[in-house]
Amino acid sequence: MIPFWKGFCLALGLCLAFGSARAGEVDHSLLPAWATPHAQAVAALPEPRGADAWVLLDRTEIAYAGDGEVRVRHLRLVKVLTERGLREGTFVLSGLGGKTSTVKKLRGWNLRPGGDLERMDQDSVVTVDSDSEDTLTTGTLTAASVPRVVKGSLVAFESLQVFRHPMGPVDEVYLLGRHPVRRWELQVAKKEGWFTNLRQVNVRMEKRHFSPWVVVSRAVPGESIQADDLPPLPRGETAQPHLRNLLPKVVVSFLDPELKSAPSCESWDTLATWVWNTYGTRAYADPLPGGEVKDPRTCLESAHRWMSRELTYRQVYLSPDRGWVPESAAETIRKRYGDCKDLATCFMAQLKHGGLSGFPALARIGEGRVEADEPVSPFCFNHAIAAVRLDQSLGLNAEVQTPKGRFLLVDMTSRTTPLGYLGTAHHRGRVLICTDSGGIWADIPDEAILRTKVEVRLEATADAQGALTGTLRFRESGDAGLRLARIHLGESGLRAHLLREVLDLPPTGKLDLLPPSDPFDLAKPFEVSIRFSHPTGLNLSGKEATLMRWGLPGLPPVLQRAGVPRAFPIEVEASSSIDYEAIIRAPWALRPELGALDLETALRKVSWKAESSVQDQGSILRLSFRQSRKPYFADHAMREQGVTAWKEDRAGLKRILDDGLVFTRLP
Amino acid sequence: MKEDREKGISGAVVLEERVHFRPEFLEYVRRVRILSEAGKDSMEYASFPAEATEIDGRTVYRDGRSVVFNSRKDFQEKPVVSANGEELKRIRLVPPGLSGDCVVELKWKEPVDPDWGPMPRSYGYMHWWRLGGPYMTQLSVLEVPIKLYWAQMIQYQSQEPKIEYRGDSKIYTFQNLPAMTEPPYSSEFARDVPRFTLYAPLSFLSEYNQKPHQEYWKAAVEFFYKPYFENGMRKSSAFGRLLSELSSGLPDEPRAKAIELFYRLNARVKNAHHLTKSEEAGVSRKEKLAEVKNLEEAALRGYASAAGMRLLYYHLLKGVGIQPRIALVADRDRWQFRYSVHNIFQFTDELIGVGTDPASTIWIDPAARFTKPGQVDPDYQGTWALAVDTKDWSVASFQVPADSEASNQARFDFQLSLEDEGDQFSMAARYTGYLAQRERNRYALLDQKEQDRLLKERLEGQLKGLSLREAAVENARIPHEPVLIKVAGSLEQESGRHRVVRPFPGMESPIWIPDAFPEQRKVPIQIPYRRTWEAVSRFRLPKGFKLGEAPSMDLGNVFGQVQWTAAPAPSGAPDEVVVRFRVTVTTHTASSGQYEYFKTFLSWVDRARRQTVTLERAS
Repeated sequence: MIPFWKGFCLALGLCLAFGSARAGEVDHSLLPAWATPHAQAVAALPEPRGADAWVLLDRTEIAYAGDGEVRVRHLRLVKVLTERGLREGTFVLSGLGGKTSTVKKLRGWNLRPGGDLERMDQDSVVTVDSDSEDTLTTGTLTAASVPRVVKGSLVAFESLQVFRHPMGPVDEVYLLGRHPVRRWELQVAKKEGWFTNLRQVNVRMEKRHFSPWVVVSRAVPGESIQADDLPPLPRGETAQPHLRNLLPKVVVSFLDPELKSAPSCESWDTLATWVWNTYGTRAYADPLPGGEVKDPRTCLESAHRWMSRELTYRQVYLSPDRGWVPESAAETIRKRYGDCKDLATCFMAQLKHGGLSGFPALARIGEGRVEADEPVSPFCFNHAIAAVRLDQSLGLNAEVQTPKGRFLLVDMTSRTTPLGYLGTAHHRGRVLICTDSGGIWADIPDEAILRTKVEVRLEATADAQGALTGTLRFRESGDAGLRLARIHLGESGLRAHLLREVLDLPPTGKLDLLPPSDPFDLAKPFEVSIRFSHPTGLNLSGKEATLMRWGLPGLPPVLQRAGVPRAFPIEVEASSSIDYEAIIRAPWALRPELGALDLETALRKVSWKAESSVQDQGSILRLSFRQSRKPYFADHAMREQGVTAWKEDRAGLKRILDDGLVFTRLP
Repeated sequence: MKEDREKGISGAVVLEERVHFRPEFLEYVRRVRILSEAGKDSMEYASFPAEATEIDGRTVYRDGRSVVFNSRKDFQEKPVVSANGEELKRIRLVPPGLSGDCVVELKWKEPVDPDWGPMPRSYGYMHWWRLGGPYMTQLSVLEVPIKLYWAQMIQYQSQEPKIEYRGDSKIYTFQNLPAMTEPPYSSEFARDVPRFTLYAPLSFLSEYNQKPHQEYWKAAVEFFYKPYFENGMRKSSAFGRLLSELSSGLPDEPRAKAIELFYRLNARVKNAHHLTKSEEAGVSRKEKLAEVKNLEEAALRGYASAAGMRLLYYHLLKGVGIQPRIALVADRDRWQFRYSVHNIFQFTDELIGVGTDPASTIWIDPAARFTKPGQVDPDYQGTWALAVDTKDWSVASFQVPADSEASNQARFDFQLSLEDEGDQFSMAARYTGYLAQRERNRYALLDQKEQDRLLKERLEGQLKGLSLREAAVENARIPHEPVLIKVAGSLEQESGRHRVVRPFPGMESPIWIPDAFPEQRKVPIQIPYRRTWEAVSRFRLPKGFKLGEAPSMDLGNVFGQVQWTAAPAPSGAPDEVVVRFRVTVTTHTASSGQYEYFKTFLSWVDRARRQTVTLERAS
């Protein structure tokens, strides 16, 4: 028996040992044990300036349990600093749906500044559909909220999710977020049980883009990484490379030789072989309607033509693995829609009828690019196209010569790109051609890219009030959006697109869209003409007349607010051109303010010319504007120079747009 | 069949749409001829309620081949929300085989809940079907049982239906309904499309359905609204204390008394549906969802739901000796109230009024926190409504008054300082009426610091060269004061041939100007509210510059006036320039015949808001 006084001392000691709060202090021990020291450590520290919340701990534990199963435990402790930071009271988990992912544990705590603790209840856990307007998937989002979060709250969430990802035990963990992070940790392990032997499983942890964002404070190779004081993501910047090629992340993969239900990330070859098998077994379909077998080139052309006209891109994933496994070619033809994998597989199937061999080729478009030293992961790619093996060149631009032969690359997702070209989204990209004997990397050649070129021809007559009546013709090669708008939205949609994106027509203006050319005839540029009347097309102001800007490029936005340093590198992918010519008849004698100007900046080359021939009844203006955009890149070290180059480019173009369209009325 | 814009055929033609009411289910049939890629959206991504069964369809091509889609692999049934163990589901179907040249047929059934009525329970007490749609509809058929025990109503404008009786059914047929357009500044119920409405019969009103309208509405109020406002209230000592606390020292004049009582109530009891971000943190879900008629609990806790606030205010008014009026109103975008239709589900909101007759009454929405008494939402302004005098529960149809342009004002004062690198400026704005309410809706739920931050981010986001060093919102939570906005900052100046001054940096357009206008218009023009928008900008000419020729505007028509001038200041420093911009919108509704005037008016506003001031180098 313990004497009374000893019991009292023991109780007192326990209280002290567990750090019970003194009056007016918050008792951090009410938080879970993993959070307490991190909460205590910042109690006396100043909060980061300008932050809405402060992530005190962001810890991810990834454990492999064998047979493709990955357990992800996430611990997050956040201090809410402003009203906007209140959003941190909700924690969101994304799932693949079906049996591929489950939330095993979800707990939440809110230690309020007054010292009272709120815990999450099941009522506040909601699972919602993660579909967007254009996609239909099995995916779900699970959101959990802790109640009564206020400024000063310490919010802790602990989750445990179990994944059995169709692409195997591979994961990517990003480090930066909206708020500064005081401590970031990643721990990777193998979770062996009595009946699970994982000795053969290799664990890979590969760091990407840590510099200049992150300094690792502690690391055990293949086991853990710890970093302190991570900055928040820069806000409100544009014209940067895609964030996947910029931001720090860790790629974690478990290489399990016993796992047969998913691809192995041992090497690009193992991944490519799996992709080949997966696509190849589904690349069977009858010849397309009207597509009898002919010579290889005819086969390619007729399959391309039919698919461009008849098949629509749609992401409809009715099972969790559909993000990675294509639909059978026959089924895609039945449905008349498919995603990039489905369309590539469908095209591969048709090649067989012309005696050709097709292969899936994995690519990345629109969301950054695949880097040369990228670690093996299926998540490098977001797109699939087809590669056609050629015994000899067909003389098409999208052909690539590799050590293992010549291939023609065909992207059936882009309905506006003719056979033999790839869309601008592939510019400077790389593809992994997947064959039965492994992967073949190929760089997309520059000449494969279908350059966007828009020819504009404006012919109009001004009346004495400056109202302009005439025609405007666009001739689009490549993809400036007109052909696509016509295909997807029809003629009325194209008209709305022109009014919204290209023309700025006052409410009293009139616009008649003349029948455009066939948008599916990819061999010819797409042509669209309008007849218009613009009440102030040649706007009179004192002695000056100013022509509307229709058909000319818009002024690029201000890149960086004055006095605000640039955080991201600057990248401009554009490489399009505009060829504009205008003939304007005006009832007055006019003199151009800017007769001619050649401008070459880091981002574009422009040539401007304006001539006026004065006649008895007024004058005829002849204007020409030719622009070719240049791709531009300024890395971290050169980003301020990049801002200056952008400003110079903007100022140069502004001068042409402001002064070139102004004409002085002569007496 | 081909696309023919002259005949209004574009994208697709709905060959047939049918709604068939059966005792056990509702059957929908839809057959569409798709003529181009753009017409595919007439059938894509059909979304069905969870109740939908027997979904059956096929896509038929020109050569006679077809794709049948009645197998499960074309559907996905998935949870939309799963909370507290409950799962709600819906069915998604992407009809396979859709191309730009095909016919798609689709039919499905929705089981009827016999305990509810002739339609699924999820449709509620009232449901309306719009016949026709964005594509031309060749045939639209409604087959309704003759002995339908719910009330029904068919509405149409330019085309009458053919009505036939076959067996137990009454069949409405419309042919060649033109494609419906949604022109800007129009409301749903002004569009020329047929609608069919079903609504629940109420047994206590059954004997009044065939009686004159006045008797029906009197009975509806007597048996439905009166019990809702008067019966079953829980109020005792806490409510009594609240009444005594809020009523001491109120003004005598009834309207002033009602206004003061509204402010006091909102200061004392919080509307749990309009909590500020900070308040929300302190309130549990249970407190928010307190029972609406439990005024005692609301008085004790200091929280009530939006509907609870309405009842609380109503009873407090009675407690201070005011016999309130009630206006039963309908949001113009959701329904159009018709006195001649005996259907009490026509209303979307209830306002409380104080005054001697409906026209001069001050109408208050106690469910809307941070709203000035008398400020009626524009969605109700000018609509027909039902006024109830709770003295005797008498009823009268009336038109909700619409604000004049003098009620809704925005006034901006800009002071610019033109410097080499950019323009320094300060701006003070003052909003009243609904324009103030619009600002309150934007800011009131945020704390002061966040209000100022949001203002700064909004303005800087609208104009990238703008950099604000000060941004302040005042009175966002004080409904009886105008909302004030004050900012100061700089606008980057880029070199050019002339010095161009943007006189009103960051100021939004006084009225929305759409990107595009249809050539023709058949539906009336509905402007949400009248307003007066006035801005004055002052600056001194930089050394070496003079004011260039600036076109002034002073234009007007039936929709309002637009004025814009830039001139040397009549008094004060000789190098001071004053720019004035004034827009008044004086019309609330207009016929389609006024369309050209409307476009002209908007083009004036568009020109004036873009107008800059050009300075020239003094020679």
